[in-house]
Amino acid sequence: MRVLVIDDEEDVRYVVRMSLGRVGKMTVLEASSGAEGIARARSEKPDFILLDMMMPDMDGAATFLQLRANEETASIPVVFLTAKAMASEVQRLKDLGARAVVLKPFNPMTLAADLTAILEG
Amino acid sequence: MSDALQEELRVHFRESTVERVREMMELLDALERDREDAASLRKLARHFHALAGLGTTYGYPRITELGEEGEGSMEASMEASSDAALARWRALVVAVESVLKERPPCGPPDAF
Repeated sequence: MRVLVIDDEEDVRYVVRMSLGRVGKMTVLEASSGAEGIARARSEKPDFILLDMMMPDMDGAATFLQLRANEETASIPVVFLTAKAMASEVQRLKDLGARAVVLKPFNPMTLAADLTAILEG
Repeated sequence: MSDALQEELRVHFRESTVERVREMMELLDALERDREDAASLRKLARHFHALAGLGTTYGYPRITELGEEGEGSMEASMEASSDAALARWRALVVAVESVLKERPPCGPPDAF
């Protein structure tokens, strides 16, 4: 399974890379901004996207809407990553069409299993 | 494998957070010089937000608590920083630095 993680924080990308790559045996692609993520999604066609909500310049919601607006990326499942403090956003993100919302902090030992269950559910 | 991975994660986080703390101290110094430095306020808030989201994931739940406290405090004073707010934020950054210097936590994360 190939996942694209879009997050401006290198520490988030690192732990996702270790968690999904080492524990979950997934191939992890990375982008550090919404614009880079959209470009990588179009060129790499990942199986799903893990998308940070709070990013400078283009935030997660704006990135998501652009992914949905492009027919090359419109059907790729998107799971949002968002901070505990923004839990009230969960329903809004699901209403936008997100497959699920993973709250930070997350458990790196179970993230791969949690995402697999979400995507198979 | 999970113990080894958790140790790798903690080592990475300690190293990157030492650098983050250094940047936060520089931002606090900039805010001492200009209390309405909006760019520094924004960057400092993002650092607290990142610490809140990352600490527990990397095995440092106390750093998540400190990050949440800083983030909450900054939300209340985003337009300008008072003496009291600056002192509070600096104390939180010093506390993060202290956590990094303590004996690393052992075992799997249990704060989720």
